[in-house]
Amino acid sequence: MRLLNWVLSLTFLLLFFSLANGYETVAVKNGATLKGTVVFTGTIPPQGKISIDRDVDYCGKELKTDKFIISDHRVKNVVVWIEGIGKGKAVPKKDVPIIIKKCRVEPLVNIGFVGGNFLLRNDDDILHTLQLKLWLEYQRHVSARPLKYGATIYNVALPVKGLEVRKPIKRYHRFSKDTGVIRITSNTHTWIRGYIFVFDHPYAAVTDEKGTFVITDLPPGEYTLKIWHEGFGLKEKRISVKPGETKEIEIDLKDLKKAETAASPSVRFLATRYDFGTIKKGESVTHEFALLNKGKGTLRIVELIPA
Amino acid sequence: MKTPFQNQAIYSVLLLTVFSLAAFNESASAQGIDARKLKRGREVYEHYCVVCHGKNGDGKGHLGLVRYTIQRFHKRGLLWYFLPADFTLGVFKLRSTPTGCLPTDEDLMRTVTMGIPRSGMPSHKVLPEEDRRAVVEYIKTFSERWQEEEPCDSISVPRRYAWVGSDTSAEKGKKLYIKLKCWECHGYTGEGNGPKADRLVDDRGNKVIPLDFTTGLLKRGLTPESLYLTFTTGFDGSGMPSYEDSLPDVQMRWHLVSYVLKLMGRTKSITIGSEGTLHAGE
Ligand code: HEC
Ligand code: HEC
Repeated sequence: MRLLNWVLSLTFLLLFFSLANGYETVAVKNGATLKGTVVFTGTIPPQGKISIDRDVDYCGKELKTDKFIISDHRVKNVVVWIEGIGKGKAVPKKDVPIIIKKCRVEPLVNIGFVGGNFLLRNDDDILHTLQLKLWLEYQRHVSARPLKYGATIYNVALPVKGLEVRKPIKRYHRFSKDTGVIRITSNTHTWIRGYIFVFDHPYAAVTDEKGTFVITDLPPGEYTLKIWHEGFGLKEKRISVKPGETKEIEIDLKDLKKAETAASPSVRFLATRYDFGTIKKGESVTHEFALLNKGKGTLRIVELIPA
Repeated sequence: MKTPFQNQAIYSVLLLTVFSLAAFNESASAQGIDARKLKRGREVYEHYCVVCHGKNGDGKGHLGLVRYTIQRFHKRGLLWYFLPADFTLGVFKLRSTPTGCLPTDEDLMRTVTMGIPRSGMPSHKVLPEEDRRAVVEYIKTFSERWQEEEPCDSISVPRRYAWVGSDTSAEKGKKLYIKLKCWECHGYTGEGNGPKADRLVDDRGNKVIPLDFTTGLLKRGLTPESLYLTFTTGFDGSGMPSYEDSLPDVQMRWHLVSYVLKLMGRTKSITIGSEGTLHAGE
């Protein structure tokens, strides 16, 4: 009797977990293929430069940001995914390479899947340390202390050239509107950056040099396609696919409106009065200012930096 | 007329309902214990911790409003300050688990019991164990991460060799200290003044400073074992990275411990000290 009870509880627990896990793997019959090209027909924003102030001998004085890699209007490094898909083909278990070469992360933008691994490698002759940080949107509503890029999910030293370090991709790392993207940062080299979107379903891709991507075995139906680019932000488009079809779409980032988010306030200084002059030892100086928020979102002023 | 199969189906549905109720009741009573523990944890928290860690667990307690529990100028003029941990992040420094993992209950118990000397977090040794366990359970309610995953297994610290702290071992450790570039942050002489020392920031962009080994106080507590764990696990959310994969060899890890002890001027007390116990001030 007790055993039966136990077995049943276990069944319920398993049932609960499979529900809680969100994505369900099923055999996809007559799946559709989505072939896309991401273009930008507007004027291409200027390519920025980053000036380097550490390990200059090795890294050089300047790096291109490579934020906009656009040739013949085709945009590289755009992440596309099917929003909130509940079931479909199996999630691939693969390594997501995070290679530092010549003081930058390659590839700059990538996707990963729960159950795979982050593969970190330093191809440089100098010390790099990498911190992967999860944006953690929901946390920003419960804590009065804002994060810069996110909360650390890995903090790894890579002091030896060529050494490969694998770290598991967990469910906790997955992208959602409440969690967000994983940012690759480096404490020792502040300009180093990279982005990883982790999904618990397999329907996601990153565009190549030709701006193309392919999503296969998509169960027929109507979906929201989300589109993200470092410079152009997050956008979306409705699509529908029929059984067995190969659908070709072109996405022009210029036509899609950028989502207005709470993170886009705009600030105007109304008045500011400094009175520095000379201050004797032990005296302090006060500084008043007024701010006006002209943007859509709420502007929170949270911390004054003493240094 | 019902077919026997239908009868059976109805019977099993009934059975299922009965058992699921039983299962539900059982878990409900387990929840009862949890609820009591959490209630106690909350009382302890609001009595002892809230002043620093804040009502919402975000580290904005009354002292948090003053912002800096300890504020002082480093030798090189760097500002050195600490903020009470923000539990809403689900990120912990003092773990026995690998980087990217939650700490174990025992890790948290240790932090609460011993305190964190260099950060001004007091020891809570005086509290009964039950209360400390309750408050540990309570601080987990501040972050969703605790519902998403379990802590990983602890990295085991193998028995310390007799030669740890000896000159020959420290000499080998010094080579590792240079090869693994500890000096880039902690400095050649261990004074926390390496070329990258003024660069490091935490998750909020606030400065963090590599430990000046000559000042002595360790966040994890002053034992060779804790040094071993510090560079193996790393401090998540701070500048101190994990060397678990870049220094996998156990003996080499102990050599590095020897050298750090030497930089701290602590090699004497360890060779005469008893197993695993070296307390601050010894
Ligand atoms: C005097 C202020 C103060 C009090 C009181 C205090 N803490 Fe802390 N606590 C701190 C500071 C400061 C830190 C941050 C240390 C750091 O990051 O270096 C911290 C960090 C922590 C951490 C995180 C350690 C890690 O691994 O990152 C835990 C857990 C913790 N405190 C639990 C508690 C609990 C439970 C209580 C009450 C029983 C408590 N603290 C009371 C100041 C305090
Ligand atoms: C990228 C910079 C960096 C490197 C490289 C680095 N550390 Fe650290 N280390 C730090 C920082 C920052 C802290 C302070 C962390 C804190 O106070 O939260 C620290 C703290 C420590 C502590 C004190 C732990 C405690 O309990 O308070 C020890 C011991 C230590 N490091 C050893 C090492 C060793 C050994 C190496 C080389 C294998 C090393 N570190 C490499 C930045 C670094």
